[in-house]
Amino acid sequence: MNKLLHTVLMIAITLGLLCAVASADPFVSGRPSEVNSSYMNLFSTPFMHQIINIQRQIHQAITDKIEALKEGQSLTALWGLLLISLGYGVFHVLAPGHGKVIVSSYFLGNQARWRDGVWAGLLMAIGHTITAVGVVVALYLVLGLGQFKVLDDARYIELVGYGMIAIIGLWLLQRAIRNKPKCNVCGHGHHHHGHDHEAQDSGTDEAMNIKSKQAMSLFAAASLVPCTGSMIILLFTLANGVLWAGILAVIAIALGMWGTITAIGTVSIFLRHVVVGNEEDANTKHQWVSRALGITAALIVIATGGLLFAGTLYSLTG
Amino acid sequence: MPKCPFVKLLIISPLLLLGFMHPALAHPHVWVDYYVDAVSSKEGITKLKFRWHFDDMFTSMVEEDFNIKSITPKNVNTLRDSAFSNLKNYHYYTYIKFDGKEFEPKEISDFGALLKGKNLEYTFTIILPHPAKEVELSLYDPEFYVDIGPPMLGAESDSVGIMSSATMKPKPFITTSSSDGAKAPTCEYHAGQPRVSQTWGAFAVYVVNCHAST
Repeated sequence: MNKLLHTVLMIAITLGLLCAVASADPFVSGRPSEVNSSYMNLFSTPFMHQIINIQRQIHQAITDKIEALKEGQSLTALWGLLLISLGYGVFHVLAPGHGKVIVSSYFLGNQARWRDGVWAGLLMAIGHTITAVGVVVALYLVLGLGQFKVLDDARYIELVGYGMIAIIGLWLLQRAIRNKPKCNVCGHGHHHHGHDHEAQDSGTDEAMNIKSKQAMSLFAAASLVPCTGSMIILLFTLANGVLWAGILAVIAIALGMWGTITAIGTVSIFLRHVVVGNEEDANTKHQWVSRALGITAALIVIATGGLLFAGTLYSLTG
Repeated sequence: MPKCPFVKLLIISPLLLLGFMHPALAHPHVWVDYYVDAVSSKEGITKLKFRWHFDDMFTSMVEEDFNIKSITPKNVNTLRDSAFSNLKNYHYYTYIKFDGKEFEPKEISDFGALLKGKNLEYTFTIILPHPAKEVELSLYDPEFYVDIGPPMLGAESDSVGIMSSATMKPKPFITTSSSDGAKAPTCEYHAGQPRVSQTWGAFAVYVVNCHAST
């Protein structure tokens, strides 16, 4: 009966989110009217124009340095390229599809140590880079596809990544729903139900393993989304005969991304710790809050993966 | 800090909402500077002539994929068919209101392509369905894969100049002209409200307003 209830709940939530996606996404609705709204816009106009200008200047600076390297201005241009790429990586993570929502949701919804945030950042930064380099090597160098075709085909890998994020979100949701608060402060009559505690303890151990697998799967799925910015830089350096500079630039971008993802993850872990406290000693109230955070985080992961999946699918097939 | 976790959650929830509910900062991969010429006849504004100036990386991709070293009439046709005509699905990133009515162009005319220095440029014209007294125009890609906007003063500066972008302003990008002896329209621009896509993020646009001279 419980299983049936869970299944019905999961299907209802999924359908609800997909409906939300269908009505919210400008591609799915077929008109960009949603883009014109000021929905959830917390940024001021001057700030947004400032961001656009900074992105333009960073792009131009990277282009200039690569062209300078091509013309033989080696050391200064190389350091300039690496420095700008590092900054680009720090900034780039704030764009959609680079895992910041995934990392923050996961660490808000699940128990973790601060160094888990560092590892998650490292895993995702390396993953993004390997995927980008892998796609360019496989499609451009090995299969000989054109540059536009490489970028087009990479979107299918993005699609798979976003779909996997949504599916893992469902997995997280199922776990969060099943993770009912249990009695931690029942010293009274302990001897009467020792077998229950055994069951709970073994359940917790199992849950930790599953959680770990979930974390790795989630971050791996988010890493599967190739960084288009890195791919374009690689293709441009290839066209200019300085691929080595492109690879170094992409590594610098990954380092920058690592820094930002780590910061986002660590802040999320800290905020969860502020609310839930030491999870080993958590009382029932804390466990309820922990469960609510877990469910909310899973829903955000599903919504993020679902929205990006629907948007990418629509732009590929629409 | 209160001990009750529910109260703690309540206290930090605005922070969490701020973290999750703000739109992502969208990031482009192709940069286009656009220039527009608003053309009037005696009846009003009749057409908008565009020049799009592409960034070095996009130009390099086009040159390599279509094996273009110089622009010939044959190459212009290739570029129109292979690297431009699909933009009709995005109505060429143009959002036009004339005399209060929205207009999504499905067709363009006079397509041309050239290499200006090392950068690719496209030229084309959008003809309004009928002459208009007022035209409001903005150009953007709702996915923000393409950052299309006016050319900016100081955009060429190197990394040292990145922090100085607070002072960046558009270069002159609007011209006006007329046919059959009519007066040219008057146009001005302003920084429009940021556009927000829940999927792709938030970005900023410029809005151009033109008025037919009487």
